[in-house]
Amino acid sequence: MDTATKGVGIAIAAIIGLPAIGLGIASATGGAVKTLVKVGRVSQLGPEPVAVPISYVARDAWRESQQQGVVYLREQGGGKVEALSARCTHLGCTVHWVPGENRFRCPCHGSQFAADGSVLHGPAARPLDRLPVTKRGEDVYVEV
Amino acid sequence: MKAKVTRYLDERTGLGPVIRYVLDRRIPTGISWLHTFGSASLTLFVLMVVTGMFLALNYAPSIGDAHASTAYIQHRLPLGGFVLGLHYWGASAMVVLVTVHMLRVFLMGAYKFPRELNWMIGVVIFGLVLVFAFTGYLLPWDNTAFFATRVGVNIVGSIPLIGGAMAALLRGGSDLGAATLTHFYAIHVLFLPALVTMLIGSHLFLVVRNGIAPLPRRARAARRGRPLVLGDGPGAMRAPKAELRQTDQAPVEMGDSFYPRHVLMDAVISLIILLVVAGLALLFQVPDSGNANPGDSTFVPRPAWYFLAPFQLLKYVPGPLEALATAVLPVVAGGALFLLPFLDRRRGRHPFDRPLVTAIGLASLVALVALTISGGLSR
Repeated sequence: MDTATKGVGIAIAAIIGLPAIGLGIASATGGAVKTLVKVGRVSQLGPEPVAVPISYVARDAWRESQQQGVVYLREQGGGKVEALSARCTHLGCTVHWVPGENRFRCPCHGSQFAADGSVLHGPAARPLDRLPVTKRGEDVYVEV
Repeated sequence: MKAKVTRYLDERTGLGPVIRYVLDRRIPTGISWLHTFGSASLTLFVLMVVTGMFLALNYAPSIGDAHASTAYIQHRLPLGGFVLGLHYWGASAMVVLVTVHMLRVFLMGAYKFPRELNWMIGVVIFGLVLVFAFTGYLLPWDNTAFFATRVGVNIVGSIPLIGGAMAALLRGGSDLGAATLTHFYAIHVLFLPALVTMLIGSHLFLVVRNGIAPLPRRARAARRGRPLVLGDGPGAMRAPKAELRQTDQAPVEMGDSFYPRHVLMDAVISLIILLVVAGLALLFQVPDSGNANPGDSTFVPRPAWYFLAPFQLLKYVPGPLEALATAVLPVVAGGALFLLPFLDRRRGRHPFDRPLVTAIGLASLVALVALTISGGLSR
């Protein structure tokens, strides 16, 4: 009878607890959804990064909202396009491309990055984030 | 290892003897399946608390987001529809179970001395379960929720003198809107759980202190025996003779201990009810009548099934007498239920020993069921 009571008790706990905890864990998969944003044509890009302002509808959990942002694009030769996030990997300020110095500078804490995003000067420890690029013919899309 | 941990905890909490007292206390003979609805209600309460907490992770109580976030839980999150279903069907099961539990206590006359206070606590919990249901119904913010709640709050508002103030307090203003949703949400997830948890604690304490009422016997069969001793240990005291005359306590034949036989029965009934709720949640989606649109003039609101009886009653009551149905009847019926132990002071707990009380109770139940059914059938 003892074993039966424990068994039934475990079944009760499982029905009450497992779906709810499962939902809690599953909500880690929700939230913001990545979207593809058209950023231009390959022929407009050169070896030097250019800032491209983007505007898109972002789906964040149950909400949809208009988002603005900026990404850096450059053509690495042979039609290969690289997209870099403009968000500094130190604390998230927006970095600026300085053409004369051939580098990105962060206005907040002085981090510097090369054209390919690699760190030239701290405090940032990590290169600028690369964003996935999709090409459809001449059109370039970036996943944000 | 286990013995060591148990000893460590016992030395510091003294809980071991308390748990053993609760589990090993002997219960009267004949306590059986009919005595499992209270613990099944408790299991459902735990289900509602747990599913509610996890639903709240992704629900936003604001009129711009409530419906969309509910739909997000239901359709986008894995297991979301199922957990929402458990909470939705669990609410109906709770109303049924608490009613059946109360009916059992009523028929067995278990509200009599020394259990009057526990009956009254139970009636308050029953009322709060209905408030739980009413406030929870609005949260998905779909058309059904919006319009049914508007009718419900207006019924409160039609109570003479205090109704207007009560409705405004409930709504957070003069019409249903943003503040109503936050009011209902706060009542549903903060005020009520705290209140009901305390009441359930008192309810259970008194069940252990006063013991489960033995099965009622006909008054003439209830012989005089040893004087009834209330409670145990230093708190024990003899029952006063005047109150003893209202009941048939002595002598009580004690049977098995509470654990394991009755605990197993409680657990089996709880499990069956949970399986039914889970089955309903799997088979039927929680209905969604679209984001609430106050301007929709074509929408016909229907209350949840457990509020169909008052909804239907109002169709039969002519306008000028409406206050009779919305205010006088609930106050009289609720008050009579709450004060039942003091209204029914006749000797004997057996339903046949108090035919008038039994008849009024059953007639009320039949009226309630009939109104609910006719409300469900009418369009």
